[in-house]
Amino acid sequence: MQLEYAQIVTSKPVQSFFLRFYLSDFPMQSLIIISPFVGTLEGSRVTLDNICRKAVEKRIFTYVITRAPEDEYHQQAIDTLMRCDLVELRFNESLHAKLYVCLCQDESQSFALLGSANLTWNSIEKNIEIAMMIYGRGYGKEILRELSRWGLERLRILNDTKLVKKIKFQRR
Amino acid sequence: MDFKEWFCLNGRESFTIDPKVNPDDVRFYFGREEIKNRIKAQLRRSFVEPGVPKMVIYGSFGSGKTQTLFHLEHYLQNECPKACRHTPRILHLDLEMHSRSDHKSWHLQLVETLGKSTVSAWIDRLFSRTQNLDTELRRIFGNVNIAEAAKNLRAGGDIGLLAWRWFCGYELKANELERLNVTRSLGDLGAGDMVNALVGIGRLAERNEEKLIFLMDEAEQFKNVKTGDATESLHTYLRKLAEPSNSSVGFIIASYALTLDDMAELLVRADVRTRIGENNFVEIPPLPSIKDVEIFLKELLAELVEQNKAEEKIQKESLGVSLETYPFTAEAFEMLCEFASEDPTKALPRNLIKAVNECAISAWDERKPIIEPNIVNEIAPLIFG
Repeated sequence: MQLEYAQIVTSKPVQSFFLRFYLSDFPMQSLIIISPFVGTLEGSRVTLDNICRKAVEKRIFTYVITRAPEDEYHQQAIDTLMRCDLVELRFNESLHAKLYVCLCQDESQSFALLGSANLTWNSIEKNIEIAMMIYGRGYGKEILRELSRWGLERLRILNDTKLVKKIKFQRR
Repeated sequence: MDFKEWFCLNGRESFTIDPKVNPDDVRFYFGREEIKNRIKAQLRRSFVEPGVPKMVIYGSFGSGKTQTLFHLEHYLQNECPKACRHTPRILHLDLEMHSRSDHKSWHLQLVETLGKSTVSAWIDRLFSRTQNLDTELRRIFGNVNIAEAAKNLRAGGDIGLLAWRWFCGYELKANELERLNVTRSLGDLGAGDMVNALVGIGRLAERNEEKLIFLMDEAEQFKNVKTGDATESLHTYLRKLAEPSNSSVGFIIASYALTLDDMAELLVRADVRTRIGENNFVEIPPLPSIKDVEIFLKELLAELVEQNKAEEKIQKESLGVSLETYPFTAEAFEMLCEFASEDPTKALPRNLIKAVNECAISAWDERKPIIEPNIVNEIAPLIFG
């Protein structure tokens, strides 16, 4: 019996996650991005703009928690996120965790990435990073539930997590 | 003050319900008296001897299939129907099937969920009560090979493990079979052979005053099986398990499916349906009317909000809301019910719980003690729109 629910990713883990997000066509519900630093990823295979476009086209509610920007590249990414109606943006200055979760309508298609990599160009093209990709199969399902609960509930309601932008939604 | 205190939550961090996080959540089955009573009535009937539950529940994503399984487990363990003369031994598993998974994979998942230590303990107890274990095991299993392997489960070390691997359906080498004193591996004769071993374990459980019932979630996984032979072997395994002659191993299978035709074909073939019985295919539909949504939400809030604390808060802070709908104002509550009922396919427990949670987070963001209509107006279209 194969129970392959986790995989260590050492080569461009963040890119692996977002390629899977961008290229898969199964119905997705939410995307959770938890990363202290965020860039526009210009020059990478999947840019932040691509991610936002897919979120809007496929109506994927995207929850981003990051730190308040201090650098130009981070500010540009925040500007991109602020323009995207389907993004909820929060700042937490104590944030050090890096977690990415894609929740799909069919739980077994959901996946997450937990590791060292920020959502930045450096983490994809330059840094040595390691992460664990977790799939919604077998024990992975439990881990995914716990991770998404942490990202979608606990972290969002911490006293020092500040809401910056809400999701704007127009009914079709 | 944290979120939990802000909304007077009763021993939990959010409005989410998940029996895997809060085991006590298995009690909940909000707003669905009719379906709950129907399933329980079917279960009670299914135990009338010689019988055991054989049921398939289905519904869309978020309709509450998993919660139904957990709730039925709670029901069977706490209010077990009198007709079931044994203590139910409930085993949960999320089915996992791949393109080439066959009956061996299914059998392995069932037997591994049961566990070697459980079966060994049953045989140990039988040994302490019986004059002749060999004869007793042959009577229970009705097959010399299975009885021999079962006897070896009592042994420690290699032999015990080997016997367990045999029960799991692994292909053993000739010398390993010889050590177990069996003539072939389990499953050499096909799916029926494996079902016989499982049903034998069910009879062993009965001799230990327990009734084996598997709760199998995510049976839509059967659709992953792409090989014809594998599908046929899985179908045979299910058909044999569903046979009236099996009165020792019960099962409730839950599958994503909007209609019966939407289910994995092997689950709904005529021969399987006849054996399981049409009444035992139960749909878990969305909440059918605005009234049901209201009841669901009121029952949910009554359980998740600490009533005394909330009442005190409502009075102390002059919040002007009723305890019944707290932390929603009456108008916000009504609005949420209307949004949820607009499209009947979206009036699903998962969506309702998510809506309550998101509305509460939104109020928390603005440090508002209650949820007013503007918040519902903002959140509900995201979920039900």
